[in-house]
Amino acid sequence: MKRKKIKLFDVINNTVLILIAAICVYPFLYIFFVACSDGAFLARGQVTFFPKGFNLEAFKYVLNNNDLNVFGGLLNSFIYTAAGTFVAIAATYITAYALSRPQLKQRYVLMGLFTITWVFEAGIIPQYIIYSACGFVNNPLVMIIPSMINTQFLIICKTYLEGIPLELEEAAVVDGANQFQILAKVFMPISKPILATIGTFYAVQIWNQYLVPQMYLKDEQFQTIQQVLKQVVITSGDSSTTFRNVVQNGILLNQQNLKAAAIFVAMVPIICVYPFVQKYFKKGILIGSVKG
Amino acid sequence: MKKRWLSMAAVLTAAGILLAGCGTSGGTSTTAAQGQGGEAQESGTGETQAAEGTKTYTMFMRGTFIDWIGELKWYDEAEKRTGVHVEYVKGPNDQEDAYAEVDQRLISGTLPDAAMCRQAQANVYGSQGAFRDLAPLIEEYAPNIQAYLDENPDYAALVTNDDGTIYGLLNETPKLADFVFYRADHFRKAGVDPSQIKTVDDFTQAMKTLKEYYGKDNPNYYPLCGRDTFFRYAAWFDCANNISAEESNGIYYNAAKDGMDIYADNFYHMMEVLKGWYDDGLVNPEWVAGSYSEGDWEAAMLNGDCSIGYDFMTRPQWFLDNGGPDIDPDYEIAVLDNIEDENGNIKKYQVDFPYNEQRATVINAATDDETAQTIIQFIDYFWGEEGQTLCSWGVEGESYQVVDGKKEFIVDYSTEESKPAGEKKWSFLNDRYTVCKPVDDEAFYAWNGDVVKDAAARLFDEDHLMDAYNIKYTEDQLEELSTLTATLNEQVKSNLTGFVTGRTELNEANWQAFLDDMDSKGYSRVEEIQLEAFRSTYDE
Amino acid sequence: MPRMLKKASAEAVPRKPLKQRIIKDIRKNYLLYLLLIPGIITLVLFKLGPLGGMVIAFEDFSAFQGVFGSKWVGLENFKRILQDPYMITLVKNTVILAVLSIVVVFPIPVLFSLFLNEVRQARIKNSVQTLSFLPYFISSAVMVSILYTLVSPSYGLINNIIKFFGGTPIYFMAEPEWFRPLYIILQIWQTFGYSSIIYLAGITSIDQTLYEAAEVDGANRWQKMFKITLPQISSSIVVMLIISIGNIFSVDLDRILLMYNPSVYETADVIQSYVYRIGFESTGFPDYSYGTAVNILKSIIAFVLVIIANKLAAKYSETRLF
Repeated sequence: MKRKKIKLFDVINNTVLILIAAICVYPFLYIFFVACSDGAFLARGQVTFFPKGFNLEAFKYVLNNNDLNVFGGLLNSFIYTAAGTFVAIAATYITAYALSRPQLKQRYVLMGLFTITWVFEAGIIPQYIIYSACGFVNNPLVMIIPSMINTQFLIICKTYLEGIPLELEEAAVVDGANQFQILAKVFMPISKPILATIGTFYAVQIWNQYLVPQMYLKDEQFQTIQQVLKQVVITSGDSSTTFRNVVQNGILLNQQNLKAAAIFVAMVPIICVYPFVQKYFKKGILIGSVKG
Repeated sequence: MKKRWLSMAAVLTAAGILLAGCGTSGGTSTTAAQGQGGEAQESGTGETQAAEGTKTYTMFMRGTFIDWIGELKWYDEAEKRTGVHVEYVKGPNDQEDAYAEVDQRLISGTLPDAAMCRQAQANVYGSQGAFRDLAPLIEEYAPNIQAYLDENPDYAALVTNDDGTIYGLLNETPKLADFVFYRADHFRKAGVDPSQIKTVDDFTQAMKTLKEYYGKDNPNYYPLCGRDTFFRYAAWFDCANNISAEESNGIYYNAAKDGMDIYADNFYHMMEVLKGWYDDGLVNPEWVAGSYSEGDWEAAMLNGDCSIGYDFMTRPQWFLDNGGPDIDPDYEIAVLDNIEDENGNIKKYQVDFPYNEQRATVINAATDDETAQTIIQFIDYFWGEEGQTLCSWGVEGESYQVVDGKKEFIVDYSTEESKPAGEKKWSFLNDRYTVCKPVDDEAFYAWNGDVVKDAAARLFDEDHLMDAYNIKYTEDQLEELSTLTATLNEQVKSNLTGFVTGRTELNEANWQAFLDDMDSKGYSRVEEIQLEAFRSTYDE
Repeated sequence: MPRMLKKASAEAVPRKPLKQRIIKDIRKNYLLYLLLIPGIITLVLFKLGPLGGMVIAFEDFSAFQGVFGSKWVGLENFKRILQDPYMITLVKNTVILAVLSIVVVFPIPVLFSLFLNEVRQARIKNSVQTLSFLPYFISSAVMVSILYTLVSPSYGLINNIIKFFGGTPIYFMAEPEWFRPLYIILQIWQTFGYSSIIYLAGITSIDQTLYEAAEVDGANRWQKMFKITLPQISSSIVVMLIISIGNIFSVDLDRILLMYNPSVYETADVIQSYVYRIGFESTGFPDYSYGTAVNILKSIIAFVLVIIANKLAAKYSETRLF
């Protein structure tokens, strides 16, 4: 009697949880289905759980139409993310390293200041005034330089470095290595996991950023994919950037096809790399919450 | 602990020094920052180009305007003849966004040599030193503008400040109203006779007939749809805003064409009618709610999801030239006459201001004298006879010919205007070249599709149109008005929308509460400032 | 530098003048100082700089006169805030969103991880977890775009279902009463998988002998879940709860800016979005000083909350936020 009850619980529990997971990802699939369905079926509301009239014309149209700037936005986002992640990892790591060295007398002060700026945010207006005085308006560097050290990741990184046994360093010092050499030869090799973790976080952060580019990158040539998305899907205010119904290669593409294609294109890079880096995400969340 | 504080202070001081360095580089204002941010656009201007004999300057505008200019054949000709090349710096396509960007470009010092902004911005920022005083430039280098100023004292008074400075030049707008236009084929098929639509009630009845006919198979069909604001029928109900030396009713500032007076006697009645339209499914609810884009509207109007529109005068023709007849061979558009009251008196419709205060051209204070001279001379070209002819008629033998001393177009309106976006074409629509210039009325009406031309001849006269007055505000008035109306316009719109959609019940008590609320938020203060400014503008 | 003094005397080295000691320190550690350059630049320019820029809240800031040249007006802007009737709406909206996200959003990952822990098949457990926290890494722009597509009145999936059952389409994005539910749904969708990772980690570290002992006492599945697992992770829950309370004023600005429009301002407009509009989307003249003042007021309240939260966290567990 009792055994049977437990089994029932397992069946229901598993089903419900799988269902929840499915609901979580279904909207992403739905966007894909909409993008690759025939516009005619879509207009009649016949696309729900599977694509109907499968075709990839919408993606071709969205990526090839230069007025929409979808391709340009993707390219910019890629560049910002790649360069930004590299700079951020380097800057965060060397700063964390310096701040973790006991011989640096000012480290508590500096760390304290970092923490203050983390807790007490200045807000977007003073930030705009200072950044613009530094020449960041309409300057792609705004995606790379000002955000290169995230206090939370700095703390994570520093905590990790402080946990590395002193003996390793001492051995190198005896061999006559200087700080640069110690950093490169002793610490870097054993810091790979933490670098991968903060790297993935930085990359996701830069890729997903919306407000900063929206405020600073005004020229079309610098815009990120998130800005493009806002323009073509959410605002769709003006004729020049609005999707019209088009017929391409004999297939009707309506507004909704094209919008869905743009959305999908914007999230596909994250989805593609997600399976490979998700373990770093998990690790990062745990380090961040427990030790931070 | 104390020591830690001391060293923290030391770090802060260092921070302060660095900051000050950063601050001053930005503090030297536009000149210095221009070098940093504007570099991308500016490099290769000036010297390099001058060597080839062309002068260049940069100008910031709404993206849409720049796209339009890029399509104009006569504009290329103008640049060729004057030897000036303008590098346009694209702003957002939305007007509000574009002008907010002017604010930001000013604070970050990334405004190009010239820009288009609101007249309010031109004067307020101009007096703070952001823009060049154009008066001496005009006097010295722009004989045509000077002549226009001398001949048009109204215009001169509007752009000139008390101290004689001119910061922004405005362009002239022909006197015109929006058109109510309809799918003539829809009307015919549904059995509606447009000539019988005289009063608002007739109009409502016609929409009901259409809804019955087309709505039974198409759940997305609504007889009336549009873009931007839904509330544009004030003139039909005698609720339009108005101003005279005696009184000022409603928000008039920046709102000649779609302005309304929520305190008008008939306003409550109007709300009842509009709510009726909404409840009966006669108007597109997404449009009323404000989530309907221009593209949505165009698609609906083309696809037959709606039959009636109320929009800019060139729009009826636009649908004919941009795919309507391809989708439906019967596609036909006509313009409805003005609504009348029960006694057969024609309701006059609202018109735009004679001079568009949303399109002021300014010159950055940081530009050097030579560039400033180039800019004013280039603008001046369009105010002279040759420039006027070029932008109103094009090139003789190519786009127009002279028969018996009268100019006439030899290019076809529909062929040219239906060319796809981005392709060069002959176009003389007045709103296409938005940088300030006067209007040639004759050419303006000549260059239009038949539907529009006929309707304009029929409806654009004293009996059908109201008057609009540009008002000269002082800087303080401008600042107060723009702050007050920014909130009020938003709140009026969202409250009216609420009444129509039923979010707030439309009854006397709620209506009165709304009116009181608007009053407490400065509605009557706005009217007071407007009246004051009107008197000082026109009583002198 | 005074720090060094202390160290120096403690090491009983003869006292040298301050300048010499600084030079010595720099000579010895110059490589470390070199490494610190990017950190110092970031700290001073991009983190402390904007904090210093907040002085404009006490000025009548003009872009042309700069931070140092603008007129000083003292507390004028703060007085205006107190007289601004719209502030009540803003604070109300901000707090309601925050309270909703604690009351509604907070318990979900706790329950989710409790039940997920009961799954015996490691494969299912891992896949469910992996899928559920995917949305955390999708940008707000994409999430909101998807939302627009799903709820579109003319073709969206949700309204198609409503129409299928004979209902009339709902204009979700234009109706103020729908803003909060939609915001919260997005919040849950985007964060519950993420938060549950923390709880699951806590659950795995529970001492297994507790369960064995309970089994001996005849406890059933439910009793084990709610009598052992839940109390065992209570300290994580308390900490997470305190963090959320500390963040009561921080809303997801990206999400709000992308979701809202004037017709839903009455429920959607929060302090941060208002500040953004004052500064960057003003249809009148932008008022940088007033916007900054509003933000400072918000930050002060939030700061006090964080301090209290931190105190509480320290009291209830070993963990501190900073």
